Amino acid sequence: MPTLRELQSAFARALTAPQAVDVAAFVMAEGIAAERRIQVYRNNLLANLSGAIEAIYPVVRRLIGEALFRKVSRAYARAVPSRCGDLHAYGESFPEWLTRLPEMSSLVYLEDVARLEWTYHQVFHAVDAAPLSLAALAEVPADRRHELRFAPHPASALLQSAYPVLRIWQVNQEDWAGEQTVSLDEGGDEILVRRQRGDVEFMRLTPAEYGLLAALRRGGSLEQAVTEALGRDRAFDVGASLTKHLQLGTFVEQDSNRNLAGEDHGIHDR
Amino acid sequence: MGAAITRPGPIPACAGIGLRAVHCREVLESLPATGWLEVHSENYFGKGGSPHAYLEALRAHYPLSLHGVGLSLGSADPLELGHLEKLLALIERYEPGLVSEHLSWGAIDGRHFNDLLPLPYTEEALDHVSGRVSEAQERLGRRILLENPSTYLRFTHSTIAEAEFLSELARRSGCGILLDVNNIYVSARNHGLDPYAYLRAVHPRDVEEIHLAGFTVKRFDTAELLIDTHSRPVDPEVWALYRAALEVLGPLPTLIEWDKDLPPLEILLGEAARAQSMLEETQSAHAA
Repeated sequence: MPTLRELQSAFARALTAPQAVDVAAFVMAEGIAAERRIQVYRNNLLANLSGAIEAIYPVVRRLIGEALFRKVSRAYARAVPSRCGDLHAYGESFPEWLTRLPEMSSLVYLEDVARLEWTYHQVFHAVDAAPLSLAALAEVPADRRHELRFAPHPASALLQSAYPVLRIWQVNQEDWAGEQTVSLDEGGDEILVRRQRGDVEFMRLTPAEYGLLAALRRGGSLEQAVTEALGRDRAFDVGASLTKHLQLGTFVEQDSNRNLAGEDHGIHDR
Repeated sequence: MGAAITRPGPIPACAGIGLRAVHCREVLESLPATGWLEVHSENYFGKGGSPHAYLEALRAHYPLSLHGVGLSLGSADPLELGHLEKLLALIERYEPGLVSEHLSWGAIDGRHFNDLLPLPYTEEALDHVSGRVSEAQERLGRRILLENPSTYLRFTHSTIAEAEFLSELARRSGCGILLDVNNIYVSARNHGLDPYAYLRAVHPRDVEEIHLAGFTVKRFDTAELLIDTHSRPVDPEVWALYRAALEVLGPLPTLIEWDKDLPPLEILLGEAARAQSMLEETQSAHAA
């Protein structure tokens, strides 16, 4: 008689390697062969994991077609174990895994489109937080503004691609009624992924804007970020860009910023 | 969040519906007359965004039950404390009337199968699961309910009937039972057992909630297996078993679950209305 652990390990092998059916010895036949009964659980496993991939990667599905997507999502479910009882955590490595398949080699942009979809999924579920507002900034005395931290809002991300992934994503939305073709000659994208009242939005950034936000996300000071942005475009308007992103809620409110205002006015006690 | 939110309290002995993402907006806009809502806990393990915005808004109107599918209480692996912490955070945020999980396992050696896998019903498993349920209840600071699963196989070394196993688990750990009447029917058909005998084998005092759902049939050459897909209306045989369950157990909170091939909201509400009328018949019979 197997211990609970032995039985579960044997069951796990039977689920993941169809030849390994030593668990069948412990299964009652009851009119239907043990192997067929185990197959029901194999089917469930494949359907659950590949279903998670299907939910996260609808644009990849459209790009490679229903039949091929079904094949690759099930192959991924067989190849990559789930490590979490919450299926929303499954599928992060799908973009990279997918691109290594020989039949995908001609779709050079596919990995980046898939990364965009994973990023969408992450931003959709990310924590809510109050954005850093222009009004809060105005309370910081001028001589302390250089100490301000423009930390990224948790429900946001940056994404960079050598291909026009944003247009590829857009024309593959179910409700898209415009031009269907995208030329790879259109060039790459630098994108801010953000959430607005629960909806995930993409915003194409200029090279300098991307440089500014990327440096701030790495934890750089405003001065370092501005230097990086100006390195990408000498004519970059820092003030206009910061104002725009403050209005968009690109940055998150932080205690350290509140303290800068609080120390001066003595009215903010947090 | 914020202060002074009045929220409906415990889950009433009424029919409720399993709330899924596609129906959230319509439920919030129309506020249908359903007794309560149940959601899958793991669907709210993300920390923010529209799933929580909808649930916060709906919580102000309906009693809420949290139903977990991923805690893997029957696994020989150590209890996943990270998973429990996320569940605890949800409990603190939403103050659910009921919290439930399954009598099953879903992970071993750190690998998750994200499914409700069958346990051997042995003394060893009973000791193990009782300890895990007790630990989970301690960490969550509340009683939980354990649901009987649909099973497609039984183990040759099982020595305890499932209903007896659940009852003993309730006695040892203090947990309650979520009786899934569809699962009783599906498992009974798959193993050639009497579903009505199952009803008589559980203690009415342990059962706090009932689930109803639809199954599909998978045919083989000589036999068939019922598969618990939650993709169809409740089967007439399951309605009959439900009526018998109400006679034995008295009126209980009853949930209609539908997870695949989701119908329009009104179909789901129609199924709940049918359960509600059977509940009301039982209530008047019990009052008489």
